[in-house]
Amino acid sequence: MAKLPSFRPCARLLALSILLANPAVRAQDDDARERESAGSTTVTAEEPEQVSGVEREPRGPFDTGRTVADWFLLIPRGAVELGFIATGTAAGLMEDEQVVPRVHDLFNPRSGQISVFPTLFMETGTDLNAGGRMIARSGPLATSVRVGYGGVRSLVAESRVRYHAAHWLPEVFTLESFHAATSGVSFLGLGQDPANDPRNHFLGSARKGLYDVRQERYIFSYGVRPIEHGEFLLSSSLNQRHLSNGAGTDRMRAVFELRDYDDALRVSRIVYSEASLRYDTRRTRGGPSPGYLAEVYAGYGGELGKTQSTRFAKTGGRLASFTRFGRTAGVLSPKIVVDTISPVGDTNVPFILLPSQSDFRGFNNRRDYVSLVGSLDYRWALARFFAARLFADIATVAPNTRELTLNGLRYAGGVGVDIFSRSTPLGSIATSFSPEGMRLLLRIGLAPTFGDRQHK
Amino acid sequence: MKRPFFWLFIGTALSGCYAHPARFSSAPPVRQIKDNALIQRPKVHRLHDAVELPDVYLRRPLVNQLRATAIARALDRNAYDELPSSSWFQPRPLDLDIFHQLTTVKGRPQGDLKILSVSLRHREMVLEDARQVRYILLVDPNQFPHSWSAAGIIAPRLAQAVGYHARETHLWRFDANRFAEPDLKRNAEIFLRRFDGKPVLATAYPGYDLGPTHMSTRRPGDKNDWFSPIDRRSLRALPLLALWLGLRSVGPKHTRDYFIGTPRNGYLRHYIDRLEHSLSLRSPRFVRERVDAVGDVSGNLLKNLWTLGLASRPPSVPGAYDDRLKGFSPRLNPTSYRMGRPYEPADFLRAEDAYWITKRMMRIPRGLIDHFIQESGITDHALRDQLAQTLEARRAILARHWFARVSPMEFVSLGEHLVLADNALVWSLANDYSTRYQVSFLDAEGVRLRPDTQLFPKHDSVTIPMPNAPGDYLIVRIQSQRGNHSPPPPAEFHFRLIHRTLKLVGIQH
Repeated sequence: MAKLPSFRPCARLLALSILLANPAVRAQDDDARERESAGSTTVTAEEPEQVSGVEREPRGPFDTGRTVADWFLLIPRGAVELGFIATGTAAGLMEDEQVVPRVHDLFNPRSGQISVFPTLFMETGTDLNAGGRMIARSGPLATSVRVGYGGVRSLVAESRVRYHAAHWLPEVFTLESFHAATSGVSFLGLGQDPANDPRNHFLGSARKGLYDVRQERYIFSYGVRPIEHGEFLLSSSLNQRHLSNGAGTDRMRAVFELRDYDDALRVSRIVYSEASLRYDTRRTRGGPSPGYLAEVYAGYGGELGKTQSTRFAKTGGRLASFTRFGRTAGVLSPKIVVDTISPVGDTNVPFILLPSQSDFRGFNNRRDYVSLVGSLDYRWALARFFAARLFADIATVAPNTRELTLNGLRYAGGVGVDIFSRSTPLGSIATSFSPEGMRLLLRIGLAPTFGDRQHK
Repeated sequence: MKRPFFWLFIGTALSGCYAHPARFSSAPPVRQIKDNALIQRPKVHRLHDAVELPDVYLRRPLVNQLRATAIARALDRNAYDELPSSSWFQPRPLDLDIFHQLTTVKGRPQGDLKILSVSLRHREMVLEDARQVRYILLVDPNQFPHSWSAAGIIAPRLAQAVGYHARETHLWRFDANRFAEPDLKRNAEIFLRRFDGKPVLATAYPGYDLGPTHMSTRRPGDKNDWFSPIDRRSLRALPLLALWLGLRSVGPKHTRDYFIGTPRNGYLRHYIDRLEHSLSLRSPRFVRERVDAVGDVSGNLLKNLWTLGLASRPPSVPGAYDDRLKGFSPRLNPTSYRMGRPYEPADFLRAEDAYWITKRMMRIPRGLIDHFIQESGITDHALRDQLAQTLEARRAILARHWFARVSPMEFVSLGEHLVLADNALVWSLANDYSTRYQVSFLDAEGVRLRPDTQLFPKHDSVTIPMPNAPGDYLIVRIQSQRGNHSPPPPAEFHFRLIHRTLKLVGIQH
């Protein structure tokens, strides 16, 4: 077959001339020109140091000053880095802080993971507590171990095993154990105004008494989510507490008359069972999300191993609404929390079992048989997964519901910022102000109450 | 020495007198990085909100604020201020045929197909073909054909033209008869029945999926990962690519590592991912996240803080798939890329990094863009033109902004005169009549060899007379000035005397 004359060289020449007329294409030949100028072919770097070709880095007139300043900032920078060392990855378990996960969470487990997550808690008047939480998950079974250390005065260890099933409805079975040893815990006495409450018998002037506590607690719980927003929880716990007199001149027996609290300063073993219902329409518990929350609970408990044993009943609930504030990204949420405890029969309830008002963000150091905390929060999103809050709390306690009045209310207000995942709060820093002083709260990692499925 | 801080201050002040420019070696610029030495397959990396969020929102801003040193130049650039070929970046010729040869490796699914997973909600299916190559199929929303599939064809090709690795994508007509499995799960049956015969986007897996690229640290177990992500120019500049391509948000989920080879012998390659939701299209995943979490929050963080959130709109839950390609706007703010969440390498973006990527965008010829759009299956000619014009307009806005923040000079030739091209003039992003250049000649220690001169461009370049006896190391420092605007930092061209001839050894923008 005769070979046809080739027009390829002419076509190439024509194409080249068209390309040269186009400035965009001219610029793409820069590399080729650069190569020609250096007389190089393809050079391969075998080591990272070869890549930039720089023998000596440039040095500006301010570089030394910057380096020196950087040295001075090394310690605060290192402190921040240490606070955030994430030694591993956290698992999806943390995203299920809803006691019973929703259906889509059940079908999306992250199996086969072992994760470690640092925790850091601090608040005014307490030691810094640093620790870690390890979470492992395999199929429907998940385990969590938490250890926190705040010096010799404060030690916490907690483990939890959870099994979830979704045969018909989302269900969760949980077994938890908890150990804590804390020294120098303060107790002001009973009532809203302990100094003037006739139930308190002070030795000398009214002041706070100190005690040490060591406790072991085991909880078995079952939860089911019969409807999208509703959970039903049953739990039973065994709680062994050893209360002892604190050290120093402010120890309990040096502050209060012996008859008041001597019976409490001993080892007690309490069995307590509780049923609770929760209806929460918020899409996420982490961010400022609109919705409603209603929760009620009732429980019954008694002491083991004593003829004149303590018997008590607990009831309570909380009601909150989370309403979008106008057309903005802010959510306004009023909330009211009521907790009560009543002795059953002719028995005493140890002061350690009385409601402690943990929802009050001022100094929550009042205890009595009935507690009421009200709050108004305004949370607004600063960025995705990052929100700020303004809050105001009121709190009061009373010997019974009939004596519950709004006289002598304690109040606190403050500001804070939170960080959260799709469904879980991950960290917060807040400051509250009250007539008793300023309280700082810092938390990185999961809340200390994570896994705490019974009302205290 | 009773006053140590006083003497420290004096020492620091005196050391400020000792400043010098960079010095380049005489070696030719590196064009390739050998970061594909064989390794064992590392562990899969997963993103966990519980770890990532405190890190990106709390630790990183705090730590970065406590640094006094300036942001360092990227470490993966070569002596000519370009990125060499590596497992992260591959400059490709922009000739259509060669480009296609280099970027088409796997082709469309072949032979009998096996279903691996199905998501009806996301309209996705993962399958394996007869060659055991994995693909992910994505079906367009019913009401908007040629949306995700078109973006999934156009955007990865443009990213590849810039030089990034992007997964190979093809338009493919879904054929349910090629699935020969006897026992199909219910979701798979529905998918086959519902989408049989429809055009789908088929994205090939280039290797074993190792999850998102680490964005703060080098990947453990990969000795080929030479540089920290924050020191990589390709990652620092990624938000600008996303801005050009209309990716609504960019974050760590948009970069992904794949292991090429067998589990015991292979290497990693780093890809840009999820580009099928670019060109201002929304993704179903995106919509889901907005429902579950607090959603996107508009506005500046500090402004939101001081205004108590009253100035920002609430997170809206958009109607599903309410966008179409016609909404891809030619207008953009060149500095306002929005992150899905903070992306650490972007915090270290320097002007020369932004200049580098906008320059690479501008180099892509219009003909190639037209061809990519044509490949996307869009039959509407007006829409095709609109997309091409929009892409051109967006890159021009970006380039105009960032070219003004450096002296955008490029080496052309060296003889008796040094000829430099001004890229702002090459692409008509500035006026030559308002442009002038301040030129300095320095030795290796930064000492001026002669008084500075002021020169003017001729067309799109400037010709600089070289000194007669320049010594064995010469730095030509040139600063572009346009009108009355404050001048950007100068560009430096470093020359060394090699075999009695001056050779270009380094460029710094």
